[in-house]
Amino acid sequence: MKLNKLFKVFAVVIVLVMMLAACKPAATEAPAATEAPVATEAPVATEAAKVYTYADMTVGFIQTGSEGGWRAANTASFKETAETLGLTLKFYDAQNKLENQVSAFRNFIADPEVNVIVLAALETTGWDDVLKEAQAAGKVVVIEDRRIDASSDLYATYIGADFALEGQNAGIEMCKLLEGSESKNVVELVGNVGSSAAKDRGTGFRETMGQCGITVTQSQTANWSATEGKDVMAAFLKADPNIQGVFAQNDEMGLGAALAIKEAGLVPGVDIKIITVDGTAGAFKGMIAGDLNTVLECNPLLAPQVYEAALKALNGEKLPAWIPSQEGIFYQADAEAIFPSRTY
Amino acid sequence: MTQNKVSLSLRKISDSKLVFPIIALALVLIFDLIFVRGFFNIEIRDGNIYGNLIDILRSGSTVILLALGMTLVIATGGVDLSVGAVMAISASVAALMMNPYVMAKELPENLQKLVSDPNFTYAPLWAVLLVTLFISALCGLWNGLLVAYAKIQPMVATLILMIAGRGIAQLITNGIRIQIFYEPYAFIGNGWAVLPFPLYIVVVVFVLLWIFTRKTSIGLFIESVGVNARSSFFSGIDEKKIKLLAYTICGLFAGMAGILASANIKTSDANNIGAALELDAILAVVIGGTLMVGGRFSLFASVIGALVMQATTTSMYAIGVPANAVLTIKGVVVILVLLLYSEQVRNFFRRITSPKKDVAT
Amino acid sequence: MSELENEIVKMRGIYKYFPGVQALENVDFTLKKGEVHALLGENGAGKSTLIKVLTGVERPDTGTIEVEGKEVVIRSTQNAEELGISTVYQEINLCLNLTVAENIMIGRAPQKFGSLDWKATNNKARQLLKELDVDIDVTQPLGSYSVAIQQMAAIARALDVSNTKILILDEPTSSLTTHETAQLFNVMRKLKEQGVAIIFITHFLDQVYEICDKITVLRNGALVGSYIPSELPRLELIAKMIGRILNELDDMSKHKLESSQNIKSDILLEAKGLGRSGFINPFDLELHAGEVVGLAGLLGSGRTEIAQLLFGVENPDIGSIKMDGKTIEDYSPLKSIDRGLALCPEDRKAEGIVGELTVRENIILALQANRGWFKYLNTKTQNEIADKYIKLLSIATPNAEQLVKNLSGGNQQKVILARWLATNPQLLILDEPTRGIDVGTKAEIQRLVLDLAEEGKSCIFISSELEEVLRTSHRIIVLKEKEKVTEFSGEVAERKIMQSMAGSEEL
Repeated sequence: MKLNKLFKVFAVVIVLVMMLAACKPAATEAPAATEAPVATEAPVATEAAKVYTYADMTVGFIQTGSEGGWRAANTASFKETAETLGLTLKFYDAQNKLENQVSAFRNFIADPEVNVIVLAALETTGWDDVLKEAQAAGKVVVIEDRRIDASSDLYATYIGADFALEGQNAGIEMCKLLEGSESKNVVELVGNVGSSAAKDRGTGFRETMGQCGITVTQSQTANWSATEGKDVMAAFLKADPNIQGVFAQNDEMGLGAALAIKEAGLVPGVDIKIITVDGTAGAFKGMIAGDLNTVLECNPLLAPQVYEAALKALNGEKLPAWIPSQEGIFYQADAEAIFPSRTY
Repeated sequence: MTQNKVSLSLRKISDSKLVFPIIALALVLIFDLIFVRGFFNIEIRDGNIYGNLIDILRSGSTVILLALGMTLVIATGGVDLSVGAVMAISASVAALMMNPYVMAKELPENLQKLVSDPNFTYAPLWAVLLVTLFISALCGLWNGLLVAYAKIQPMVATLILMIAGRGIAQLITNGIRIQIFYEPYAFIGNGWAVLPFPLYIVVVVFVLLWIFTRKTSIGLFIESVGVNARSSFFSGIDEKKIKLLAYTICGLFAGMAGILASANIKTSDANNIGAALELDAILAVVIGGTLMVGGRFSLFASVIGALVMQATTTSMYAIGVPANAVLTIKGVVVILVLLLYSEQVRNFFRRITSPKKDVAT
Repeated sequence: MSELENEIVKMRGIYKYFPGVQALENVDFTLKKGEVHALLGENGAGKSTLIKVLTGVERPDTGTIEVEGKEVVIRSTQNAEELGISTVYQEINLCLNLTVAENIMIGRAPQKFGSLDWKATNNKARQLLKELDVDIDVTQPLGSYSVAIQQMAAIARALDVSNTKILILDEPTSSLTTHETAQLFNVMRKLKEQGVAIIFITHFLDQVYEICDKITVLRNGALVGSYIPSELPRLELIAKMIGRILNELDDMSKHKLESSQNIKSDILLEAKGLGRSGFINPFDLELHAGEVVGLAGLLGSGRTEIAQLLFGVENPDIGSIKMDGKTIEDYSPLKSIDRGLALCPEDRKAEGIVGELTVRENIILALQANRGWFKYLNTKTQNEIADKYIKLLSIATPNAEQLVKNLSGGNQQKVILARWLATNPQLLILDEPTRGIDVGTKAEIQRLVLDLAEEGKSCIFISSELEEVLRTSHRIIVLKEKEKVTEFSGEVAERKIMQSMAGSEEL
């Protein structure tokens, strides 16, 4: 009898977990208040050989979900630019679920209005099938922000940051910050395990850190979140307080880590240097306050580049497999001056 | 005779609700004692106490609050999946009330300064807390109405807010992460007075809730409804009102957890605050021995359950478990604890603690 | 065949301890081939536990069991079935949402090509039920049939075990009609001829004398003795079961006569044209203070429905209730309790007890509900109330902190009675308060009703046992097909009431 109940408990827990994994709605509007895409009339079907303009373009955009300021700016960029250029955007928020992304991809392939599919992939692998389907259906596919492991023949181009380069730059910047420091122990706050950003930033960092003798003493995922960044940093500090630098793979985790450092009685930015990646407004405020030392920008405003490339591809132009986005490196000293000009 | 008495009291202990959560917590801590160097180190800095143990309590305070509310809901035979989303809503409301200017695209110079002034808040702190908690309680009330009056299955009813809640939170803040600079608010989640300030909140809230449920008939009625709603109805218990109350309290506590969490990281991180915490809270309650089908509950056991969850997480950070193993290990710990509850294992304990029978009689 | 070879089951020196209760103490039990053996005793006497030991649900602490001369250890119900022991339990443990055939054949359904052969399954089930004279559509969910049919399905299931040598029937007749009971007895006689030994547990002593060859009486977990029915007069049997001589039944009628002089002229409750469509047709009812009104009628005649309507479980859609001269506006159990009503519901398990709560908590539940959320009775008062009623109703429980689900059925019923007495009601509605309860407790409850009437309280007494209604009620309302047919007061012949229940002038 008791056991029976216990099994019920098990069942409920399992069902619950499965529901969490599966029951997100098929499609939701973007949560942000930024207006949903303005539905313009469907482009008039045109004969082949026609030169496409932005007005003829209907873009199906599959966003990862929402995880912070960077992603919000990225989404906003696509929506606003679409309005400016006068193209039709069908936006899909995958709520950070891979299966949502795949099914949205298939829906866009089946949608006769859509001629361009833009994907910000959640995972690096597993895209070959849908990409082949898209190719067969004659859709132009542009990968943005996150690189995928698929033959570059299967999509028009990839536009996004070079995460490895960001990691390498972080290593070089960390070297500068720790110059003269006796020991160079750096801890790493990793993003979602398995995402290309997390993987490549980590490897890139390790490629350049050796130049000045940095060692990564502890590394742990904080899932891009400030709460976890703080908790993980607190645990790091207790396990081994001999830390000179923090490499946070995004701003949120870095800001969380700064709070943990303060609680431990140390001064972030001074006792322990912090480098983060992304360059959101919060990070700039963090630099102005002196908590963060260096922020590597990972530009979220990719839409103009993406739309331009897609138009070229529609008109039959061959594109390079990767078009890097414009990036920048910002330092504490310049933060206050640059901040007002930031748009995200 | 004396031996009999000893074994009798042992038997009493092994029958008690608290014993298994405490064993589970002890096991996790013993593991840390053996494998993590200096895990139990405690140091005093500026009169405040720091250490991994304190971290478990502090970081666990949000889950504890959620688990307390969740206990009541689960005891009525329901479940509330929306607590994580309600946390996000409460964090967003609080942040917005303190700092509505960040919503504007461009700000005059004088206001720009104000925005990051640690002493500036738009609404006074008491109003911020009051309104935030009121809105969280409304969220709970909504769940309660769906479950008790619209008779929607709890899992489905609260799933609605679980999904919509984060969207609502983002609508409130216009998708922006609002940073919180106002120090008195940050103190709620961040402050120390010998011990971390959230601990005091948890203790006070726990005592109040305990009094509210155990020194009134509410606890009894919740259990009665959870065991047999029909019999309770025949006995004159207003089952609907009891459920409504449980969900409302659960929402209120989720709101408190949201305040603690946002004050802790000084931002209204609508995307991440409370994400997946509903599961931790549910598991904490289950580890605390409350059955998912409803019935008997123990607030204290749920607190221990929440600490088991948090201790596991904190230990993994301390050990430096590879990132992709973290969730698996959490799952293993939960299964081990639940195995402790199986009747077989309990019988095994009883057999050990019961006196040897004289076969000759 | 010698006497000894004839013995199919021999249990010796069985002990079983449950937390707080010595359920069995040195019990011996012998069963012979082709015998119908009644196992009798009050609630909590140990009948169910003894059966559970024999069927492998519980293991005895000590003691030996021999089946067909060989000593065996029965580890599980499956084990018991292998030994030829089949059981129909008191609480029907079938799946109401599965079909009748599935319920009967579950776990041993014929298979074809590795999957279930539905046709054969249904045919086999139909055939088994036919042997019991039940002809129904076996592909319908079991829950769509009456409790009686469900009971028959359970029996059919037990009989299907091909090598059944011992059939245990744990109160199979408590929800059967006379006709269905007769059918069951026919089947039992047939099985007896085939040499099957039957253990028959019941509270109906008539049935014991009708069909049983042997009677074994248990009391408080201990064996009283085994007897041949023809050598044991009924009163003596009752005395053995309850451990004292029964004069109470005789006292009762005197008691009732006395209390009837006590009935006040003022009306406590008056229902006018009260009804709810599809539930109960409109009826009138007047109740005086100090009066006991019996509701007689067959199952489904509307007895329970009247009780639920008066108590506010269901809301009437026509008519009105006046209590103490005031018209009632809002209906709910909570409001009814406040007005001094109490309802002991028919379905003890689903609507009465709260199993996981303690005896104390169950007793104070309605009183506390009436007091509201914040006027909580302190522990001392709670204990006093619990102890008072445990003593008053002699509830057999080690202490007030025992979980109610661990008590026997009769004691659970007493706990619910205590719950309502604690609210000090003006009108106590008892819906089948004595179902599945032993003779001693039955008499206690009947006497209690008359005691309450004497104190000036009113009571509505519902029971399928007409004799019981007659014994306690000053006035009897007869129901048939959801309608009030007629009313009798004063001394009435049982025959006359049965005629109105059946709806014919001549029986």
